[in-house]
Formats: sequence, C-alpha cells, structure tokens
Amino acid sequence: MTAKNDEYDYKDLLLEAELSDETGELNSLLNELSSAPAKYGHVEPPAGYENQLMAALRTRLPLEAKPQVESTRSTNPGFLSNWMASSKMAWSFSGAMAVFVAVMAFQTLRQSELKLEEQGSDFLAQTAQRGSSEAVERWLASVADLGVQAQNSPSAMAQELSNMDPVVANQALEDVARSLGYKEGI
Amino acid sequence: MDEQELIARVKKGDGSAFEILVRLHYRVAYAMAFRYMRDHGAADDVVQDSFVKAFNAIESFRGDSAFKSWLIRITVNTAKNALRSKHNRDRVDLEEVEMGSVKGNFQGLEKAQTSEILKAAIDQLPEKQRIALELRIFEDMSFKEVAAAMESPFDTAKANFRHAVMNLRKILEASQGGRALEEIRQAFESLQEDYDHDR
Repeated sequence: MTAKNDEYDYKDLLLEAELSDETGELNSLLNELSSAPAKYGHVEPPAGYENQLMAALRTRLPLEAKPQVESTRSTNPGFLSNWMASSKMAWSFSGAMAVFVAVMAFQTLRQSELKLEEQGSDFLAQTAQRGSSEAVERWLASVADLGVQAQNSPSAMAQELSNMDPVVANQALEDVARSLGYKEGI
Repeated sequence: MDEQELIARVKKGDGSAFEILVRLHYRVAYAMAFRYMRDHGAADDVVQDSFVKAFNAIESFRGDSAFKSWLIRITVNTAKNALRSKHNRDRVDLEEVEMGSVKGNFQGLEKAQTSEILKAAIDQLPEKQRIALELRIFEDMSFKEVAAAMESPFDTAKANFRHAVMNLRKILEASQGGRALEEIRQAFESLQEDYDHDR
C-alpha cells in the first residue's frame, strides 16, 4: 500500500499522533477511511429525526418563547406588517393573535376613517356584524390583554395599514375572516 | 444571534432560545451517542436525556468552553451511564460476547473486500480507540477536542488514535495480496489481545 498522488496528505496528522509512515501506508489508510465515511461509520441521524427530537423534548422541557409583548411593540412599530407577512405560515398557531389583529384593524379603521379598499372596510364591518357570539367572545377575550397595549399606538397601526399594498392587506384580512369561519372571500 | 446570546436568553427563561441550540447541535450529539450505543433507539434516548440535562444545568455553564464541547461531554457521560445500566441490567458476560463477536465477524472474511475488512476491524477496536479514531477522522475534531469530548488527557487521546491506526494497519496488511486466511485470523487475535490489555 503506497500513497497515491491524488490522496490527501495526512503528514501533519500522522506527525502529531507520533506515527511514522515512511512507506505512505498509513496515509493511504487514512485516505481510505476519510474518503467514504458513510461506509465506515460516519453517523447521520435518520431523516425526520430533528422534528421527532424536538417533539419529544417539548414534552420534557418548557421550550416556548418568553413573552415579550411590550418590548416588541415598543421596539418594532412595524409588527403588524411582520405578522401579516408570516400569518399564512403561522396561521394555525396564532389564531388568538389573528383575532386580535382583526379587532385592532377594525377599530383603527373606524377611528381614523382610513380609506383602505372599500371592499376591505366592508368586510371588516360585516365581520363585526355577522360574527357569531362565540367569535365575538373570542375577539373580546383576545383583546383583553394585548389589545390594551396595542391601543396605545393606534395611529402607528393606522399609518401602517395605509402604507400597505391594498391587495396584501386584503389578503391578510381575508385570512382572518377564514379563521373566524367565513368561507367566502372579501 | 451568537451562542452566548442564546445561552443568556435560556438562562433568563426563554425556552425558544434553547430550541435553537438543539437544532444547531443535535447532529453532533446524535453522532456521539450512536458511537457509544450502536443503536438508534438507545442513541435517541441518550440525546434526549443529554439535552434535558444541559437545559437543567445551563446555569452552571459559564462559557469557558464552547457549548458544543460542553454538550458533547454531557452526551458522553450520559451514554457511558446508559451502557453501564444496560450491562448491569442484562448481566451479560461482556468478554464472552466480545470474543464471540470477533469470531462471528471473522466468519465471512474469506470473501470480504478490503473495505469490509476495515469496517469489521473498526467495529472491533477497543472502545476508546474506536471513538478517538472516529471523532478525529469522521467528525474532523482536533486532538484537543477529542480529549475534551472523551474527558481524557491530550496525550491519551493521541495514543488512542495511534493505537487504532496501527491496529487497522495490521488487519489491512494481512488482508491484502490474497494472504492466507490464517494471517487475517492472527491479526484479529492480536487486536483482541490489545483489547484485553486495554480493558
């Protein structure tokens, strides 16, 4: 066994390990080992293991985020935009937040008399009028804590809404409607 | 966000920061656990237990070493404890099993390719030699990192690696050039003597 020209040179490693390799045998051996790690023992977890592990750890550890509502509001005035951008992905996990945003958007629009899209305003009004008692209850419950804080800066939210692409805003609001059980779009 | 910041957040009770740490390091923890346990289910148990221990002990982590090194040490200790428990529980005569496995693997060597012989030889290395070799070559750790992971002195880590390479060479030399089966057998027996000595 001799070292070939295209082999990686493990001279430094062999020296560090105090291994003499005059014939190049050990260099070839290490090349053989490192060239096909899967064959000799490189270990990779099976597919899907990451999610499986996280699910298991969530049952044993408190891995939820620490609530930071106040700091988010004060340091990130564009949080409504961020929510709208991510609402599709996180929809199933943020129902309460979605309801809250719907309420806030409705209140903000009414207060500031913003002219978003006529259809969007109609939709919000209809949502408020046609919502089932359960939905209204959910609205009120979700507003209880977060709503008070967000109401402190309704002008910022109104400004944000007015700067938004109406199509994007409508889409986000349509998502809210679906979450409340309205199957028809705006 | 760097790891120090994540760790600071975990210490303040933010579990989501720990989830990020898990996602960053679960591969190396799994690899380490599997190298000891040689079985997915057992390795998974070790990985879970290790992360739980790390979470519960995060206050004691002072950042003198990298989080990865700290996690590896926890994983190694957890795996060793798991092996000890398993051995105690099963009341297995280890020496008999290990000798048996050498002979068992040896049965098919006559027609084996070099790579298969090497693989069998790696499996038969004494545990410390095997782990040192695997971490240095497959995980590309430095000897310093290997020593930290195995909680052994730096020179011991190097010595384990050196003996592993020399043992593999013995096996490979014997298997090349169509040498007689008896020579391969002798090489394996020599390896087993090293193993006995190491224990």
